[in-house]
Amino acid sequence: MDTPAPGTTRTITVQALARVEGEGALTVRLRDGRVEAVELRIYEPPRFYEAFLRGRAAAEVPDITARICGICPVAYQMSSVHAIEAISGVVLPPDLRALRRLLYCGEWIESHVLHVHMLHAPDFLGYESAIAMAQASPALADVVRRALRMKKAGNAIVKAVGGREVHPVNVRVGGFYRAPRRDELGALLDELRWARDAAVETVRWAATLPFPDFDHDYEFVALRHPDEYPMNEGRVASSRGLDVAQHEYPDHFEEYQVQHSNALQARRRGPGDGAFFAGPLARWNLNRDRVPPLVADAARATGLPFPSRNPYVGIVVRSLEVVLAFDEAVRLIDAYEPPAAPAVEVPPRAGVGHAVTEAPRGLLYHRYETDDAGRVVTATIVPPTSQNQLQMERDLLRVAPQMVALADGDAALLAEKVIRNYDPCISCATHFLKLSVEGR
Amino acid sequence: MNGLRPVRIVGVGSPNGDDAVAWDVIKEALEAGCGADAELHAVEGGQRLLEVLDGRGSLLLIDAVAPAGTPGAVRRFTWPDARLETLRPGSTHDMRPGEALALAATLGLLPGRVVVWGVEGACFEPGADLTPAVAAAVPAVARAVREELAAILDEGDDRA
Repeated sequence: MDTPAPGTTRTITVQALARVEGEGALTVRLRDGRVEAVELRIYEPPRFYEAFLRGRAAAEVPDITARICGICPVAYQMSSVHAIEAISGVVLPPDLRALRRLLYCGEWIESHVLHVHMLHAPDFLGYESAIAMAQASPALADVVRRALRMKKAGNAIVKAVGGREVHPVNVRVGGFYRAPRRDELGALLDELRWARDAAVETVRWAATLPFPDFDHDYEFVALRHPDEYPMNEGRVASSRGLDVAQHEYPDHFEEYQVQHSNALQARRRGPGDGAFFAGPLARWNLNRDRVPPLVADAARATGLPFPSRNPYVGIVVRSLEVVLAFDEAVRLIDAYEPPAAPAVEVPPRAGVGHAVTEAPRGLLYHRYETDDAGRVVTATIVPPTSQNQLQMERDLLRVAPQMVALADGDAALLAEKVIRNYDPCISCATHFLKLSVEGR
Repeated sequence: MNGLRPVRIVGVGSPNGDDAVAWDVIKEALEAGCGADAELHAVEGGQRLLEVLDGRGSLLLIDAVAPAGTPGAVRRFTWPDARLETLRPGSTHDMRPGEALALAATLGLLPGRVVVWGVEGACFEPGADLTPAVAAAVPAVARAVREELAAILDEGDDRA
């Protein structure tokens, strides 16, 4: 591409980002061939969940917040119930805690298998969609066929524990409305064992994909638990030494408004630009010493260096987390005995509760203030995509100089690939993409 | 089991205005007793459609289609048909029903017989009711689905 004449501008536009969840756009403004600004614009309408939770009974919150996302409703249920239980100081017994972890395994599998195969893998192999990828060769068709079967196995977990595959209805403050029978979960085991092996195959395949060199000194933020790979519990930790309790989250992170987006962005408080990296790569980098031997072996066999600072390697890490989720699911079901009661009592109480859990795409923070009757006075929900949004813009700034030399379509595709590394969920963030690159 | 069974009747939709029309058709088919002879599914998006297919039997698919000035108009297609691209897009984290059918065909998951009814919508606003013209089309589509099911059951034995 020719060197632009002084004062010239350039606009590259992608009207709707593909293979991300929800509606958003990206604007990159170039002046005289230099990047002037990158804005991730989320134009999906605001959904005002935090406002209409006010006045609702705390018991209604998990079912309402589950509607924020069709991909990760369990995450919304988990963060909400833990935050509300924290108000009353209730801690669930181990059997109910295990059942919640099993449910989260199902959602991680559903979400990760979808993203790895349908949304992300085509970027590495140069196909415009999973359909084109599957049509390219019998071997790739087998990969997609295997993915569909693994996802169904994840669906089955969510259905068995959550009551149905989409927007599960069985989660309540204090536990579950009904505990599954042992035979209901036992019936899943054969398929889950197949899927665990299939997931190991997927890791091997994902590790052969070509990863662009995109290393960066990110601050990775994730939960960290003393004994296990984090899902529902742990302290909020970062690769730069942050280590705080969940209720201290607002002391270290803040939401703020940007003019170009309907979604609030979140940033680290304090010095620096506030950008940080949440999600599977952050979880893995901070917790890879907490994975079971099967997952550690699968990671070692990839030959990839971990920890990794390359967001493109996220596809391998998601695949490893799928192995982990299947392995955990098998372990939890093998050990399952129905609890004495499906839930414990959580008496309404005035107070403030916080919870952070690990949604498939990263930290999900909820805070509720309730009155004496247990009604919600205020609600704050900070989804993972809001937390990653600033880091996505920073990554786009890094890649923007490459865009200058590319034709519009290729520049837009490069930007989309950078964004898809984060598996953004825009609907969650607006509780949060179209792409345009403007040049001047 | 013959080549046309199981019969799966799938309505793809969402609670957003006329996008719910296929779910209303499934509800009518259920109330009319179609569940005795067919699996009925009300799903959101192409991904879920894909998950109920295994290459066997027949698929009767109902979906809303993009507005074209005649809300409530019903069009019947049989796979393959390029016009199936007009089926409304799902969530961008999902795939269009037409894409799901194409992927199912590639993976050998598409049944031998696929019939699709597209019902033209007018309003796809979250939480809105069906527009009157679209609501009025529901009984006719449900009837067409029942007749197609009956024809498959009649024909089935001959195709065994």
